[in-house]
Amino acid sequence: MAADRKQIEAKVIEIIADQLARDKEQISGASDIANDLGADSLDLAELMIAFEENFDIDIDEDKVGEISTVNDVVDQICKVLDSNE
Amino acid sequence: MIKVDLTGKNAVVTGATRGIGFGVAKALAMSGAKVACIGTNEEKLKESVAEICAGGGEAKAFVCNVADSAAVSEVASAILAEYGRVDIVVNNAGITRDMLMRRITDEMWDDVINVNLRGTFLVTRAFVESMRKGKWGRIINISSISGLIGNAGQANYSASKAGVIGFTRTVSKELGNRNITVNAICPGFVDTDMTRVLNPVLIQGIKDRIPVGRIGSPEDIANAVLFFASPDSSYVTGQVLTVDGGLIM
Amino acid sequence: MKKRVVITGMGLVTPLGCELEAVWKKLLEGESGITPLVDPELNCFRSKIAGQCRDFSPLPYVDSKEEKRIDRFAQFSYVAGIRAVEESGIDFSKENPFRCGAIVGCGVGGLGEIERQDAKLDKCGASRVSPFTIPKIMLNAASSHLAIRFGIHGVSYGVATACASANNAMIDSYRLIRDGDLDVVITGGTEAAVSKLGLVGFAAMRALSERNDEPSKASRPFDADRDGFVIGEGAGILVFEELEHAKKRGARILGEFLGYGVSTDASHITQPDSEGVYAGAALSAAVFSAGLNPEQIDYINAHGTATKLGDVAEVGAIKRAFGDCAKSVAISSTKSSIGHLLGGSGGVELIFSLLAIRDNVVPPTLNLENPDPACNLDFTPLVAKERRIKYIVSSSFGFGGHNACVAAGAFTE
Repeated sequence: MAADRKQIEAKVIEIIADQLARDKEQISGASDIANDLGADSLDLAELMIAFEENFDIDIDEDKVGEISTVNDVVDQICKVLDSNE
Repeated sequence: MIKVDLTGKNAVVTGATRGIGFGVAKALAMSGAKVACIGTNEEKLKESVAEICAGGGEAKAFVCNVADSAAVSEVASAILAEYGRVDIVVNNAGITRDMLMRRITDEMWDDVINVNLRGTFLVTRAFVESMRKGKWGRIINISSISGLIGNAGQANYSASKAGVIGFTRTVSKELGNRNITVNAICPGFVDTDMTRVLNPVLIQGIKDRIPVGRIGSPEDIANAVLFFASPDSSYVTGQVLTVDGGLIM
Repeated sequence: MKKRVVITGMGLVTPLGCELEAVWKKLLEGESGITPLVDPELNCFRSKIAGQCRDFSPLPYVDSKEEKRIDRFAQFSYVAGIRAVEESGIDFSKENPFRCGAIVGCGVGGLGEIERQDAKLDKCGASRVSPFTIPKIMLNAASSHLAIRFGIHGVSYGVATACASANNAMIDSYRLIRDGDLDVVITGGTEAAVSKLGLVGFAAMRALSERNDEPSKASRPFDADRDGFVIGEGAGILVFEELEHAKKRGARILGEFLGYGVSTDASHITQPDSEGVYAGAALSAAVFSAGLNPEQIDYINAHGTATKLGDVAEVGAIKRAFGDCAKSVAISSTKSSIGHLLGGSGGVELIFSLLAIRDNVVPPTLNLENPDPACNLDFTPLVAKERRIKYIVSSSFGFGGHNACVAAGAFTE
């Protein structure tokens, strides 16, 4: 099953909004999680755990460094989900 | 407690285990002095020192019988080695062996004179050199109203305490030009283990004659000691201050 | 010369609520804050009761993001601290931040978070353990969060001496102001150990009451039928301030911290020294370091946890320190109402004591229906008692042999 990108993005935004106490409306695919949304390094680590738990995947530690925007997160999750098939 | 700043001063208090001596040691320590507490009952002395330390004071126990010349020299060396210098000495150690004069034995006489009078001399002598070198000193001797007006049954005790007053006046003359003051305090009836053994009827009788209407506490005496120990009492020496709620006057 | 230290703000979180005046009223009326544990994860052990802060929420003092980052114990002290600062009227932006401090006691830190993350580690592996684990469980987080909130750059640290933590924290704070190092310190204690490990650990020591069918009757200090302490949670935080500093800004002064006594039994890791020699020394020192005599103390807020050994040892310590006055001083254990807040207890109990001074009333020892013959002092059984109160002593004795007693009084020029 190819992952539904739109659904994944919505879920990712929901998780970020909850974690960072933001309104979902403030977050878009282009939002930079650290610079625009104010996440610090611990938030980022906590977010990765939340993504892993929600999508039941493992995100490679090396790839975490490449993530800065919401779109980056969605890309990464789609990639892992696709490769799992 | 009257406020006196004794930070940086080192004090020696004899008979510091209980009663007036313990009250004096606490007051000196709470005023900032380091206090060497001398007593004979090691276990009780250490408990008293623990109490002072618990309140943030600095105190240390030194076991010594002040009537024993060799022991006093030894403990003085130990105290000077520990603190480097002694600024304040409170000669408080005292005992009673009450009896009508005609029944006082040689031993009862000597015991009291040796602790109360000879002990005061030995301890003062042991620390006076340190005070002379430091060009500052406070010697405070605890006498008694018994030494001023006498008290039936206390020929030995009152003689020793009157002796302390004579000693105080002479030494104050010898040390006055060295910025060392020497004064005596005559407590009246103070609530301590020494007086608690007396007949309650007798105690009530005394209380009735005290103008301020109460028995004294060790803290009352400690406040007088703080005055004499203070840097601000430098023009008072050779004096005998009665602290007795007005019992004798 | 030594500076004088006054209290200008107080805030608390207790099983009787978080509103100071309402809690005080309930305490005087003899209300109990002990309730049954309802969480199925918690009510399956020997002791099924606790002094729980059931309606507590850190909102609106933190947002939902911060709420996740701060463990319950630090949320308690955070909220109590903010309320204390609000009462004090201090505007920290106008203070020299290096002369302000935050020193908060806590017995065990984030016990609940340790359990949650350990379970996660077991079930899901290391990669799922939260990065907030350490910053949440460390007991110094309580002081750090207050420092962050108010921009405090002077001394801040946590103090851990088990049940004496809050008193030790307040004693340190007092000394730092007295000696001229700081002007203002936010201080006290906090605890949130009503968790699986907290309940199991203390129960394994046979320290907890198992009077599960009568929660409000379970905490019975000095009573012959006492069977251990009831675990509680909460925080008591105060603002300590140098007197002249407080006067200059026109602060309302709630009382003066006068002295303290600290000592260590150094005998057994949990059992109190049965003669109370060192506990007595700490109690006695609190009185004389305050420049007071035992007969001047009107009220003792006792440690009084309701353990078999502890209560008797405390009676011994009081008799040692107070001599003939032990019989005439009013004593009570407010743990009878809210349970044992462990590291938070000393802060809450100093607040209660200051209110006792303000209102000239001794809060009661609840459930003291049948006094233990070995506890034959005036423990103010069952009902509050009016009495002129000028000076108080509040005692805490912690596992580990830590004895910490504080003395405070009504403020007079």
